[in-house]
Amino acid sequence: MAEEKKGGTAVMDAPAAKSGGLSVMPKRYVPWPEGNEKPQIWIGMGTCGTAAGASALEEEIQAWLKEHGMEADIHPVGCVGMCHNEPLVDVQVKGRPRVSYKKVSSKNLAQILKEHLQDGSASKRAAFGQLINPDEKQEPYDGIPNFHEEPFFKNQVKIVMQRCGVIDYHSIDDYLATGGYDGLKKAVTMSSDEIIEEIKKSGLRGRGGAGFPTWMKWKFARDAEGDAKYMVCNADEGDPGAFMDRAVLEGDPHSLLEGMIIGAFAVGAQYGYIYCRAEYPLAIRILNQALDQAREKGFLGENILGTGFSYDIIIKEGAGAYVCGEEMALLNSIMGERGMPMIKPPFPATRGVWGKPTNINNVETFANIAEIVVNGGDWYAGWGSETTKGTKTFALTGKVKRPGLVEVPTGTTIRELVEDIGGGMTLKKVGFKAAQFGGPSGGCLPGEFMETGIDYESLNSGGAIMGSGGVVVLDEYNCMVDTARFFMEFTVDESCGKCTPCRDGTALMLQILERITHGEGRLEDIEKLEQISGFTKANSLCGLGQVAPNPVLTTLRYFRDEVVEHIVDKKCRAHSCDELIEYVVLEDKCTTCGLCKPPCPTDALEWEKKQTAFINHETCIRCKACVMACPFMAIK
Amino acid sequence: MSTATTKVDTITVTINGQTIQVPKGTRIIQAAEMLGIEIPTFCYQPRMRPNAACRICTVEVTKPMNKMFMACATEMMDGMEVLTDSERTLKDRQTNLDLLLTQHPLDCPVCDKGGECKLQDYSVKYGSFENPFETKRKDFPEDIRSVALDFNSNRCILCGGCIQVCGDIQQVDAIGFSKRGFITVVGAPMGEALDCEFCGQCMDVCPVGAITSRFAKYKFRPWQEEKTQTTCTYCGCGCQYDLRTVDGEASRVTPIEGVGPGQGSLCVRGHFGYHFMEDDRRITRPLVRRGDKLVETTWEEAVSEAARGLAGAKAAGAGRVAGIAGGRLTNEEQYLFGRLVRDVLGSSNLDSSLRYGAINGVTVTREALGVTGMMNSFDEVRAADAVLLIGCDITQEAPILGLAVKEAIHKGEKPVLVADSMKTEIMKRGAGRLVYTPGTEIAVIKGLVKAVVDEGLIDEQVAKKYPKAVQALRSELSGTYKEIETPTGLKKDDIVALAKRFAAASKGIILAGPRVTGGLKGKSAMTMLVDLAFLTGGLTTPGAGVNAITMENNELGLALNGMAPELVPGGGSWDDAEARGKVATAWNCSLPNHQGDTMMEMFDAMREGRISAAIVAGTDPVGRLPQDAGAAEALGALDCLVVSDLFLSETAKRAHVVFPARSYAEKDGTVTNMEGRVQTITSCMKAPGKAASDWKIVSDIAREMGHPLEYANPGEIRAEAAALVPQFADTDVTNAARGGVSTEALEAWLAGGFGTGMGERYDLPAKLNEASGHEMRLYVGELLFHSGSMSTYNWGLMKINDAASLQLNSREARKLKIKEGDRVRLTGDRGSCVVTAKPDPNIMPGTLFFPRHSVLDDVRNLVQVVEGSEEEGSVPQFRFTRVTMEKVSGVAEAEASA
Repeated sequence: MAEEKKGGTAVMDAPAAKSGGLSVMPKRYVPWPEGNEKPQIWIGMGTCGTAAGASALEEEIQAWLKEHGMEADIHPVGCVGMCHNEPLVDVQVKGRPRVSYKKVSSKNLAQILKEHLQDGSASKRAAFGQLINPDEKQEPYDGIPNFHEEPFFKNQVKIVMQRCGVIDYHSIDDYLATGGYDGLKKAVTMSSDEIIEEIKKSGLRGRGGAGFPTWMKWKFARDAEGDAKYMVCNADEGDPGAFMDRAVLEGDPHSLLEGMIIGAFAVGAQYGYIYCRAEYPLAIRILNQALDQAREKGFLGENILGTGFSYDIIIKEGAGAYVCGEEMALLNSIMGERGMPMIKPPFPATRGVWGKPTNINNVETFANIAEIVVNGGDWYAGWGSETTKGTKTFALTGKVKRPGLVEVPTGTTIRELVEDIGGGMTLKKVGFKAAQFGGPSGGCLPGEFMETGIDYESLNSGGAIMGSGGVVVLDEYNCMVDTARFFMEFTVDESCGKCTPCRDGTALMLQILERITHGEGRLEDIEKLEQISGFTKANSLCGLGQVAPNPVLTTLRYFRDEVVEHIVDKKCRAHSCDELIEYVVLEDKCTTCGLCKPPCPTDALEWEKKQTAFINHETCIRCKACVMACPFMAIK
Repeated sequence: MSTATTKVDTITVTINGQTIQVPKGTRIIQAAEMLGIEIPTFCYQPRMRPNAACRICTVEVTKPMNKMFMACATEMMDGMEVLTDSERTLKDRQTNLDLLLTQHPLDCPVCDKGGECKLQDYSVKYGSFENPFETKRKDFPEDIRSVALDFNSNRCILCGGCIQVCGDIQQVDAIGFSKRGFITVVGAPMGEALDCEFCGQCMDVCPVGAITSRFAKYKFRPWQEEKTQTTCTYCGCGCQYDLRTVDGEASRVTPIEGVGPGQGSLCVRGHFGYHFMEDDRRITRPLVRRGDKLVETTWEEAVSEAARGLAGAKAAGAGRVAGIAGGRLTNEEQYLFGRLVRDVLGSSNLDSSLRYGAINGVTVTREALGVTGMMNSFDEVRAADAVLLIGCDITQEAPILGLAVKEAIHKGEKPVLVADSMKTEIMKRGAGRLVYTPGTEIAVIKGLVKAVVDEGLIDEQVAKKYPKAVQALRSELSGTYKEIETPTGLKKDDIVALAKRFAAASKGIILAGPRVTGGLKGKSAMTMLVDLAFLTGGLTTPGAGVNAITMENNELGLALNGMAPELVPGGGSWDDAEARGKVATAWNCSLPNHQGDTMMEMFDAMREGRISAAIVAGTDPVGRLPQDAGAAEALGALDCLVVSDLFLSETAKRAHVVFPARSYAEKDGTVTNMEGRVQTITSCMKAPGKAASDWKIVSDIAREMGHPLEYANPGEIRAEAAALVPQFADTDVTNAARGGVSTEALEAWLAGGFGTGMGERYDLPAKLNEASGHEMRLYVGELLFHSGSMSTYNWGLMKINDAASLQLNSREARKLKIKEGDRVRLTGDRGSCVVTAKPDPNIMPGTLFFPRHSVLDDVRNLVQVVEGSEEEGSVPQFRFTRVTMEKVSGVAEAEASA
């Protein structure tokens, strides 16, 4: 932070050009409310925080304040990404930095509030960072690291998530105070060509997973003829374990709206839909409120910012079908039809919602737009790999110490993601086995990809896909066949049933995988899996089917041994497939007590007095009843 | 309208090494077809946009990129190279079949589709005989809840063709997918039993045996069947289909893709109405009257008795014999019937079922436009920019023309404007709607013409070219809207809005239904529609026009054969001495020199004893007309009544001689549809007993009378008839293709005072505003499931719909506490009767609807017939009447009155 450039409350450390092409990320601080003496408290109350108990915390804070005769402003904020530290509470008093506390519970809450609000210090045990706003004179707390230097955040670059967890999600004022709608204000002074040119320069590609250049999509939609056009947002985030879009929808809804409005302005759209899954009730509530606020402030609706340009957005709730994330199915669903993909062309750009030219982008794509317009395409392109510019959010889950929502420049290696940000594997002795990218459409990349920089191309060549950004880290205790089976089960459940390869192919693959995990696999099954996978990939109608075999294919590619082991040796090295586990009695530990015999439902356990028990593997159903019954842990 | 043809770009593509030039936008599957290369497909339907669901048509594209593409959906690029027989293509095709066969039950031996199943054929051709995959099969119970169609979801390969045809062609969306993925099933929404129009098109497109007909189930194997292409005879559409028979018994009806007016679509009647031929109520032997009874007799005796009776009347004086024919007869039979009456019997008293209303449509379009029948073809309707329907419940009255209208407006993209006295099916898709009081069609039409004149909607070129005609109309329509608003119950603004929308379309087509031509002042109403078309440029723009639809199968044949006193064969006017002379020369006879009686005049003459003998073929005036028309009394007064029919109709019951006639499936010949297409019907079933073709019956009578009309087959009759009726020379040509509107006729009509008496034309009948003691307006009309009485002899159709219930407005019903199935009493000036009520939201308040096919019901006899004046085509108006309705309370009273 050599040179600090002040602009509103957004602080740019240095212009992109000066730092050798390496751009600098915006850091957002909520300014102290003028004339307000009351302490400010922020509670992480996204879906994640609420699930971790934040609503109860809010009540407890209120109660504490009342008890101590104090008053404070309490704000709900979205998800900052630190799943492993939920629930989070930030506290700030006038003239001092905002301090973030982790894992706040009824046990430590009183202590934190007492130290912070009464003693004038900060609870060092619970605090993990302080946000020091360089625009305001703030006296930092000793011994608490800068928020941005915290190990989890240190290596992240936040553009999409810059305001998530920072601003009050109910407040458009917070958004405006942190540079919000500057992009739109600038965009309306630009021509459509200029906007699209900036997006082109930025190298932004569709963050929904397929990575189609955004500028090109916009250009198609703009050049399409039609008396009405639509700008639609795909917020039907359905991958298991992915919640990037939810964080934006809940934590920073206006950044999505601003992106959509700019997009609509660029392509000449008058109407918009946000197709949001109904399983995000909080997001829908917050979005509706944000829409009202934006309309009230003149950013949405008739004659936006006095330019004569009009655009409005309706929220359309999905009905729970994963396939509705596919754009054609999504369009059908918006129109009240069954959510089923259709053959392209015609592409939505020429014939979309109600037969009109339509542009569809993902939440994360839109959330990037305003910042690109404000800072220019080159600024955005200062991050990222050769082919994929900018940043990407990932839902980092699985066997890492610090799971959470992270945003990193593309090109970041898997090792950096897993070790530097994720903090390494949960269990020290159990090593990294694979990283699963892209959910049910993706694949598992083994350790040899650790040093690979993540972008669309590298993941594709590895057999996975970027997808929406779910990353599941697997260790030696995860069975790869079972993982493939899990994702295939999801696909079978969610296939719309329209085309044969996806409908019947996935069902058949699942059946084969189930057979293998049950120890009934045959060697020719591998060949069959490959055949069906190849067929399904090449012949499916929509993206869902075309990528559905990826988990199987990557498993066969990188973990073939493990599959063969399941089939030939009837063994699961991860001890995950129940049917393939053989329970044995450890002779040295067995006390010949016989307690293990009665619970066995199939009489597989043979025991006679003063004899070591013996398990008959023919009849054993692996119910673990004997394991539970043995007081000496002699059965394994 | 631009008439410039756009230049079609062609591209060069290569399939399996064969290079071909195809128009831009050609899909791989189409190009392959041109080269005679077969690409298998389950879901591709040439009439619909590709669905690309079954993926069996996958082919390997090698240039410009190497990838698998779906042949049905991929538009080819210039220089594209495709392999349909590469190893990869064959392998993927095989895998696809293998996957389907893991699911599809191998119950071919008991499946109706076995033998013509695409999955079966492709499996033999492209499949592997050892399926490497196995899995648990689906085990859904067969859905046999609907009355006509059974759904076997286990056999279903989910290609979606049925759903597409239901949604895109039939546009009723009666079936869809439910559930998802592997367990997706096709069926009616919410898992209900299917209750739809039962057009059966879903069954036709099903490549496997997932949808089967209840009526045909287990009754045939495809290879046992004989296939005979013939023409459907239920309505004026004249669809082509294959009537399939096993050992001379009808097994089912299958459509023929891309052929005839329907282009492969059939309606419920065409599809499932093939049982009446084999009904045991058919008359199989000639009958003669012995006292009060009709007794079976020999053919010879019946012929001689008929000939004696007719000859006796002829001898007693000119014009003492009458003939009435119907649309059931083929062109050839009608021609010969006409010749029998006019030549052999020497009488000009020849009329036909045209008199029920169609005559008005026929004469108006012929006089004004020089066209007998529709001036537009179904194809032109499909391509129209706007369709205006008046008094025409098209989806019920002419279902396949209804599909053409639906295609024209495709899901509301183009306007359909509907004026009717109930909310018709097509009105629900309407861009403009006028719901008027029943029976006031003429006022509505006058309002529309007035709106066009008043609002300056007259086509510029018409105004420039025919200023006198336009001026004449303008001065005729200077009155106020009041006289229109009062009887019709419409508002001026609504009429004007509809007129504006119609005038805005460049290719606007008007379709007038039987309630216009058969309504009050039907001829004037039809002429006004010609005025409307004329003013909006409809007569001078190709693809636009004005048409009256006909109801009976061969009604247009009746017109072409001159089967009305005012017509002569060839469709010319009786008044035209030249046309008459031509007929006399051809027949080598002298025609009676005065114009004969119309049907209603005949009835008067019969009652008064001026006509003492009659021959009736293929129509049932007693059963069709209300009692008030006096047909029963008149025909009963005859010394000799000769009837030929399939069933012992109400008219036949009063006959002295009854001949058993043949149905369309048992005879050869041609019929003319409403577009003017002359189409063939072909015999493929054995006639029951002694039943004979009507031409044979006529020929026998003529011979017996000493005036032989001898022909070896209908072809010879047609050859003779074609000398007078040139249309009979060619088959499958529509009026539009023959040149459409005759400019000379139009100019002559405009010059000659604009038809007849424009002043009188635009005078609204006083009857419109006549007060009545009965507050409800009852009208009798068509249902989709039945036409005439013939369809009621189909046990299949009767299973689908046997209801003859009175439809009334549901809100009104609720007010009167009438529920479905309740009995209500209708009382009119002509008596009263008790019927079953059925509340229906589509019926307007104050209005009642009763289906016409139910001939035995007394409802028909409530109708008071209004005799049309001679200027108005002498058409008796018998579709409307006024009644009082009351609920019959108590079982006893209901039973007593029943």
